[in-house]
Amino acid sequence: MPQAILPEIKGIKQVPLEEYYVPGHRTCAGCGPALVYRLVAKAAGPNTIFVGPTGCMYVANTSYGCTPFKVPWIHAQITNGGGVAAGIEAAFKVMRRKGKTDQDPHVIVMWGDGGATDIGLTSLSGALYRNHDVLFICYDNESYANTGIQTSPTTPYGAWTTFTPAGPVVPEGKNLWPKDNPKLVAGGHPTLKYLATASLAFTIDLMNKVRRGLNAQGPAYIHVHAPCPKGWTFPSNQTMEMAKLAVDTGMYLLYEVVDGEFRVTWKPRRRKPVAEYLKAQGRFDHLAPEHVEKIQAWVDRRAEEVGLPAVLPPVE
Amino acid sequence: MRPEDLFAEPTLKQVTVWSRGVILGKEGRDVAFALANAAMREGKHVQAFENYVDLPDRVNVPVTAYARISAEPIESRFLYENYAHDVVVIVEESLIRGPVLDHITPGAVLVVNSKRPAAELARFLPRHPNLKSIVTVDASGISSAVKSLSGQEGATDATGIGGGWAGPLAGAVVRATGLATLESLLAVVKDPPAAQRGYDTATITPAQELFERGLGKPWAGDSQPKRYLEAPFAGTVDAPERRNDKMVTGTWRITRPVLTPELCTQCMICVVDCPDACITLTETAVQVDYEYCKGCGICTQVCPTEAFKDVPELDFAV
Amino acid sequence: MAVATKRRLITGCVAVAHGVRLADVDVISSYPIRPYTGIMSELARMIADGELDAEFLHGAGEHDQLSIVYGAAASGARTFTGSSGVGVTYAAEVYSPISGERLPVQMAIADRTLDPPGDFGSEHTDAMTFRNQGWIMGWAATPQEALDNTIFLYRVGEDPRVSLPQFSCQDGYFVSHVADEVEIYPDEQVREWLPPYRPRHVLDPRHPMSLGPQIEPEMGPPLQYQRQQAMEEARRVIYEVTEDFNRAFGRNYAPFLDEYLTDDAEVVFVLQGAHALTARTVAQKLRNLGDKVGVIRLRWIRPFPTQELRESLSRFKAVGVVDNSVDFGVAAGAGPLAAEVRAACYGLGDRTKIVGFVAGLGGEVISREEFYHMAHVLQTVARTGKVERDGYWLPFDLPM
Repeated sequence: MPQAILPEIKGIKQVPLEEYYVPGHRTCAGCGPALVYRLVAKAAGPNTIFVGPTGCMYVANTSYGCTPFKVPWIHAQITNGGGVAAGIEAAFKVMRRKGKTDQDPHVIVMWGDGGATDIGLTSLSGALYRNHDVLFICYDNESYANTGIQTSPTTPYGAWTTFTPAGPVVPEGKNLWPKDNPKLVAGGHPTLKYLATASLAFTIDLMNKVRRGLNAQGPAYIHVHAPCPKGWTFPSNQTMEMAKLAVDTGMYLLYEVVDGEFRVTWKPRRRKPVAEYLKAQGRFDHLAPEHVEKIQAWVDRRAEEVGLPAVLPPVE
Repeated sequence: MRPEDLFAEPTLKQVTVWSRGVILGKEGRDVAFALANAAMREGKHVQAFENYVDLPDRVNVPVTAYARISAEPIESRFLYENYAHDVVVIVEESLIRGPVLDHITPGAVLVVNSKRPAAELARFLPRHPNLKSIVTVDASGISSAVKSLSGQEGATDATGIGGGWAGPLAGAVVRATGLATLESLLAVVKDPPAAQRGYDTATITPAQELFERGLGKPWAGDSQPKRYLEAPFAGTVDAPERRNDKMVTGTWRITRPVLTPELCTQCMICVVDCPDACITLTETAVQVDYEYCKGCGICTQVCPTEAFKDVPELDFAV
Repeated sequence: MAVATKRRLITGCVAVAHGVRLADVDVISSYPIRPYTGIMSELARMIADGELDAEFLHGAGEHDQLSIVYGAAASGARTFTGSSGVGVTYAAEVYSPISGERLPVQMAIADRTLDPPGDFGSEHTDAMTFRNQGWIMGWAATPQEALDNTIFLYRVGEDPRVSLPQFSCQDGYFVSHVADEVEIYPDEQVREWLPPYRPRHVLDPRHPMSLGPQIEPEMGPPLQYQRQQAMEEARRVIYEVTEDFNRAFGRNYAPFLDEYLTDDAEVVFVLQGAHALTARTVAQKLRNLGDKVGVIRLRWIRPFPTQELRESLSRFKAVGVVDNSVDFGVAAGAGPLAAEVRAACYGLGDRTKIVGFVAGLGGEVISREEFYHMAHVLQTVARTGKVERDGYWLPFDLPM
């Protein structure tokens, strides 16, 4: 099957009803990454191969020898989603050239933040650099969640994880600032065709970014903010609300880089104070006011860089 | 001599605690650890652990924790799970819909955190001949659940044990079984008054009398143990057609989203936002796939017309 | 059967590249490290010159190399990769997933000692460290055999009864860098002998499946048992394919044990790889002196030729297993091969005495003099029926 150009989804009524990530997986009730997976699979359609590096979206999806994937799926190590996807893409390319197949599937890697920004960064960078037609999606739940919530490079400053517990000696818990993987990817890969950040706060935008990434016919990277009720400690019905608060406060920025052109894809009319986001999650329960101020200053600096409006005090 | 007789451990008591992943994972683990700690004070041989295969646990998934208490050294110490349950504890009442009485031993005791009377709970149970009594205790009314990720995967729980529902539940177990003394239990939990109240307010009802009144479901016998002598080539699995029938998740629900169809405008938001693809359009409204819905509550939350209501599972007939 | 072959003076590296070309490999993943690098340079040249149509990917390290062929093989492509020394160890994570997924990837290893010290010499420790990962494994002693083994191993590994990856090893420098006379077979003949890869399972949107799902502990045993059974199948398939290879290409390979002057031997050397050829020359000289010395070269050690060794070695009074690798603290004080040969022969009775030698470490040549002295030890054992010590590290434990 040749790759068809996937049209823009113009509204919620145009969201495809077909499921390629079907009911029956051991992800948390209210799992953000699971919803990301489902929407990505919908947007990509049946002519797709998923590569699933180790993480929640491996262990909780193909648990105990079963599968919810209606399209071909293969496990990769947490370390090597880039290499495995590159091998798949190269194999189909050469087999088509030699007349051994007529298949031209989309190849999508669904990688957690621990894999894509930490232990697998070499593998990701290698594949992006080599100009493979592969879409890399980092579902960012801001921790090594599958192993029971340990800090990853994208865990926010001040978050409690089992490797960054708060205590009298380390009052803020995590005391490093997060790695900016989209910036890292955008900054040094000359063949990169498409880059975006996306969020569950904007599901149709997310699906359209997936389609643009696939239509780009080259290396593409989408970093998706995917709230984790377990690791962030909020009720399972608040997943969409957390995603929305993250963009409304400027904690998470939405933008695209198309052929090197940077474009902010969503600007709130007013920015909410970051404390509203932090207060809604148990992982920030221990923070003192000075920690919250530090985080607000960090958010303000990043928001300013991309031209988001200033924070207005909450309406009392 | 048959191996099962040769390896019998007559003084061993096995406590199996059913709980829900993440949100109540600590409470389940705490019941097991509180009982084992109390018995250890009395010089018993003990073990306490979470089911290794359940971990990493997921929000709402049914999980089990275990305590083993014995006058003699425990020879079966490296079995992954308890396979013969003398005491079954249910941390959250809707778990009673699951296979909680599978492989209980003669004279087994079931302890449930519930305000509902035993007769109401018995409707959901198979009429297992081994069940001696149903013990109810309103642990949720006595204390608040403690939510913490500290203490999993063999680490120390920085929040201590028995500060939430586990105290009253362990109190009820002690009252109904004498696995440890109340004094020992009160010495090891973080909230002794709550454990004491659990002990005092536990209601013990003989189970077979309820079953004889016709309450309960037919018992189909205990399940056969799993053994795999064959596997598909390289472990490969064929893609499912419509649903993954090897991972049915409807038992994860504590509450059920119930639609008032007249309020549904078919706006599609819940259809798109369901992580489990459990909501589909019908001609006039939407419908929920209750066989798979985990009860996360997102649909209720995102619905602009408030067409969904979250209703406790045990309010529904069997 | 006479065939129109070309004869060339080429190294083991170039010979393997010709094997890969003749096998019409689809995806190659590379990364430089001495001494195997020449294989990849030669393949890159062949692609640039239009002699081979393959995707040639530069991995971001050996781990990436193995990951690439894992994905490519799961897509139905014939794949090739390779490495040496610490490169072999850097890729370690991916060996078991490849054999567990039953993907018939081929990896050439031109041996190199592991660090420290930073030594580029030949030593089998790199490959031997991963002999338990579910890969078929064997050594070529000459560039000709390196070419032959490349083709041979694809046929064995891709056989649906086997479906296992293969380590095609050769001694660094001694084989990889020393040019020798090699026959290169016509393309058509190899294409006919080695049909295209037909996977048992593959990533295909028309027939979707999930490869490599997470399982629970109870499902582990049957899957491990499958891999073990596949290795046993490989033993049978190697017999079939050896016969077929010899017939098609006019060679005379033994399936497992390449025996030299063993008919009436009293003592034999057992070893793998190029040093076996030095051992042969020593055996020949000693024969001239009336000493009955033979040499058994192991072509494959995975699957391990247990039964073959039991049958063969029971004929001799003393067996010297020469390891070109280290296994610090191994049973009976020599190398890993000696430990395995001993295990294979356990229960044969007291007649056959086994002595282990560790030699040629760090790329040091195992000299004819050293083989001469080792033979002397074996002859003493044969004469007295007494084993003075289980293992010798050369040159320290056997001063000359």
